[in-house]
Amino acid sequence: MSTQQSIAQFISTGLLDGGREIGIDDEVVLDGTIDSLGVTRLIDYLEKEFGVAIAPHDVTIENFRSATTMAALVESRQTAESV
Amino acid sequence: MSRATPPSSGSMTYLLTHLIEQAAEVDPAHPALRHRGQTLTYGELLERASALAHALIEEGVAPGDRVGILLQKSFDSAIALYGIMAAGAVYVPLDPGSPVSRLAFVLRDCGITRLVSEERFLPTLSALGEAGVRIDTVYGIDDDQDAPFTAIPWREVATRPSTPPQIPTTEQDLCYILYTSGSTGTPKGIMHTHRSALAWAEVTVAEYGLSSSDIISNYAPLHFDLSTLDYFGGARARATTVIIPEEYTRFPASLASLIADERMTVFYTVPLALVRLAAPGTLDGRDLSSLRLVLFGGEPMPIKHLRHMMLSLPDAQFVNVYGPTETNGCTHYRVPAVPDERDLGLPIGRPYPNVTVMVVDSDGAPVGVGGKGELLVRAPTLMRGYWARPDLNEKSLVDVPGVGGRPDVYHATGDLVSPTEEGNLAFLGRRDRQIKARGNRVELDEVEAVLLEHPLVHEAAVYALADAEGSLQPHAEVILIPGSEASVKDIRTHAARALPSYAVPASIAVRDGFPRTSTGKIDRLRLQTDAQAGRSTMAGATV
Repeated sequence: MSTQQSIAQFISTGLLDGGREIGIDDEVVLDGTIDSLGVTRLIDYLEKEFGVAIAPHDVTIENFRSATTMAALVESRQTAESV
Repeated sequence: MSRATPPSSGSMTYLLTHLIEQAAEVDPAHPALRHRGQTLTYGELLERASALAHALIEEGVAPGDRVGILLQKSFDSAIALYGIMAAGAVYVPLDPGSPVSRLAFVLRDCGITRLVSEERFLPTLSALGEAGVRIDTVYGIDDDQDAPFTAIPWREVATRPSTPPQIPTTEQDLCYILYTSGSTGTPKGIMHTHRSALAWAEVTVAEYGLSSSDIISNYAPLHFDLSTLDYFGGARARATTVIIPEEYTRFPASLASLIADERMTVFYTVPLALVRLAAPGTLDGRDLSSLRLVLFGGEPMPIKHLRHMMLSLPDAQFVNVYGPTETNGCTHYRVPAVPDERDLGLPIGRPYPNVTVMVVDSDGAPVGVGGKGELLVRAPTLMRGYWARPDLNEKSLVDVPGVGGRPDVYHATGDLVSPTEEGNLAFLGRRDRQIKARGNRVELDEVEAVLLEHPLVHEAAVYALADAEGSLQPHAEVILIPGSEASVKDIRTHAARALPSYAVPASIAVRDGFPRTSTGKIDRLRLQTDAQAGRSTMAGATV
């Protein structure tokens, strides 16, 4: 499973208790699907699952817009850390 | 501090809607509002609000009628509130996040049959219909719907005249009703008049020197009284108000960028927003030096986060604003210097000009320096009363003999305060947040303040639960600073050092997050009822 798909699946099953299918480009922060506690849990998930550190100044609407943008954030952190 | 001269007005009365009429006359091209990078000028705001007023009147809206606003914050919601008032009606902002049962209660309670809304809330509107609520007309929704109400889209509203209708509204008429949760859980409608709302706009302009060069945040939703400063203080000063989209409240780093990009000068918010901005690293790379004034209110501001924000923004004035929705702002405290980290809480300061306060004990006798009592407030910004609740009016609006024995009306706030030697009022907490634990008086807010002093505690919530013997005990839930690992034992030791044994929380649970009310306050009632029911909605470890 790709990073995007893993994140979308976590949102669907981990945050929404499987209540809804989430597509990788669904705008989950703009439509209010993810509340502030959800944001906290997402950060925790991304850090543990992908072994990256997400700094508070990276927790932005642009980065958390969808599973696709979150995956891009994770990949940019992975690249940054391996350099 | 000099008071602003009231602007000249064509008529004897002076209404909230005159604020945008005057601003549009003086400088129609000045930005009234900013939202998602777009600008609405005072001229455009007046034209669009006037058109809505005409459209409302055509559908039979009469002076004094209540009209609901079920919208996300946007230009449309600002146009709606001015348009409703320009029709002589009373705007009632609804919280889109409320359950349908609560919305239905509010609509029925004050007899709302007309709303301004948007497509995204069609499911809510139809659920209200199914719950038996009568809705006649909805503005802002396309008319090609198979809806059980008359839908009037904005493009049709826009064909109406763009000058204000002539309506015999006076400043003693109602302008808005804000519903807040009562302690029993039944919402109560707080009624304000043009006079009381304008008095608050005047105070904010005079006290904080608001001017047309200011760029003011609108963080709070319309159903939260903080929004009245953003809109009416802003319009009185002919300033620009930036409507902050709802999702920014969940992304403090984005909020910081927005403050910087819009060059905001005045930021008015709940402490939660500052707590989140103060999380280490959030402000990195953001230049917030445009902020000259940071106002906060709604609940006590944790000292440690205030310290962080004040150290990050050394040139901004920080002000603790106190006032229930019933009174608008009544006292404030200009934080003179970065507070000591051992300080337990900020004073709520001194009354604004024209506000009279009294502190009385449970027998109604005045309390002196160092004593504790309930705060009573008399002010031109005071509400008219609660909608259709004579029982509450009787309890909360009390007569106090004034000059010559003539009674003056005070609002009994339910807040406990103590006059200090410096002439300030210290805030002790809600009267209903004071419990007797094994016969000893405990202020739950004080216990929270002590927990927050622990260096690794980011937020704390304390509530009371009855033990097996029926005696109340404080219980705590805390959120730790992100990435830190404090032990519950450690936090308990810290609390035991500062509090008498009966006030030390019987349990301390570490949580990932708290349930919040729609206004951003920690939902302590829900924490308490969840704990009572032996369930936890939050992931985390309890020890």
